[in-house]
Amino acid sequence: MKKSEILLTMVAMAMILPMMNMIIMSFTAGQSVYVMEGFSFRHYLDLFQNTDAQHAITLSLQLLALTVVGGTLLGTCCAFALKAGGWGTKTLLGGLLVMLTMPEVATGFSLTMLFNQLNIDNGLMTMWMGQLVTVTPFVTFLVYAKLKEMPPSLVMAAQDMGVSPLRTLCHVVLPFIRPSVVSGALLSAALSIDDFVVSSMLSGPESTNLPQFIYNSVRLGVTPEINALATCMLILITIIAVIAAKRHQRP
Amino acid sequence: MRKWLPLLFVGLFMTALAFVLKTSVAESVNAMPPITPLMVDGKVHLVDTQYRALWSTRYLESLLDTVRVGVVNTGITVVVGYLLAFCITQTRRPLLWLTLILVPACVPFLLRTYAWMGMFNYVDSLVQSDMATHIVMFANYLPFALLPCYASLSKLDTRLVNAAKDMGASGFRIFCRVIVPNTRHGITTALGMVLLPSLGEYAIPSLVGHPATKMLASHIWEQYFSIGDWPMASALATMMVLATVLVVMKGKRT
Repeated sequence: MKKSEILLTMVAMAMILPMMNMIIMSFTAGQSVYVMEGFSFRHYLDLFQNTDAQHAITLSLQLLALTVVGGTLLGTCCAFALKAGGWGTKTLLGGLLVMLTMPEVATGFSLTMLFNQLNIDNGLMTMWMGQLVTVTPFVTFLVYAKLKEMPPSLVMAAQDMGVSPLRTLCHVVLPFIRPSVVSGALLSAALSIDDFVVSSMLSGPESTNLPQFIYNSVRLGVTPEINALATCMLILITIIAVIAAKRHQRP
Repeated sequence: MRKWLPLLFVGLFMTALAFVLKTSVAESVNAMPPITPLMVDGKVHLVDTQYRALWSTRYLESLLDTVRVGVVNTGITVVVGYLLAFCITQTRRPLLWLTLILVPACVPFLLRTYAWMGMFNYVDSLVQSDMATHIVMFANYLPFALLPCYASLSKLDTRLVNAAKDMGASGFRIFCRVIVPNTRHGITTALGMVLLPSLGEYAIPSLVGHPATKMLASHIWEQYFSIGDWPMASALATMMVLATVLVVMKGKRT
């Protein structure tokens, strides 16, 4: 083994170690998070009876679905509109870039001010809007870059064959940009499930999503129950990532 | 008008920013909403107390903390990320190693932070310390440094390295004089991608960091959530937005 491989192994181990610790400690029978006191599933059972956690999971999943669908659609449509070029394209791209690089706290706070002025109460709707604002620029830039790569001859050939614009879109353009749209959707899913700052700024009294739930519990310290919840999430994410990687390899 | 959708989307956000600017010059009052309207009795009512308060030691210290945390984190992450990327290019199966290093990065950041908090429990001196902030931020931002560095390192022309070797340059000299200068594009990308988000970081320092180290973002958070001083929070947010816009404009030009 070479020197560089030893270093890389060490770094990879150091990165994975905390998660291993978390998973192992979630199976403890006691309440301590330092010492393993026997093996049990009781923290998992506690978790399934915790209604707050269930509400948080439900809300997060709702948001996830809404954000992935909405963000991907909106982002792709924006990319198409910008691809047409012409007046104001550069300004709009700059605006999207600002939205992309803006610190989350600033994004969340600005939207709070906007919804407050419009007299919209915080809730699922505002959280969704907040996530759309964080997610859409990513999708737009991904799809826009792919659209720019597309040779114009493809569309021209379809047009010469007398294919209708709608069919050209469905059978020529969309298959070409599909990889970017899929990565955009995956990225939106990752950002949505992870979104804590913007969501908490825009959440109402009744709406707590999973990151908020974890954050609120974590502020009071690490507990075996949160270890169990985190382990469940970790397993779910690993499954999604493996499926995504498998799909990615196929073509 | 084919661009109505992005126009609407960006416009909505710009309106939000305009409201922040408007709130930042309003006066804080004890009511709901806790700000004075822009027009009082047909006269425009603006105050600049918030902007003057920005120059108080409280916020200047916080600015210093923010810059310190951001710059130290960027330094550590980019240097280590670059070295790791270099190590990866030296191995026989780079893609395997890249995946191995990046797998923990797929975990949501709050989970990763939480997992690290569990580790810090074993070492007393790390609980609620700046060191903990840097460790967690490093773990969170490593991909942003590693990927651009790896991208430009793997595109490096090996003939350059071989030429330097033939000329009898030492390994260290080749690294400093040939490899690093030829991958500076990746390094600048990595610097930008790590520095910008780490300056606006809120969750990590507030969860694992030292209580005395206050990021500007936590001040916005606190002014909005605990104190309820919207104008002050808006003034801070305006500064943050301005800084972002400036960096983006500067980055676009180069």
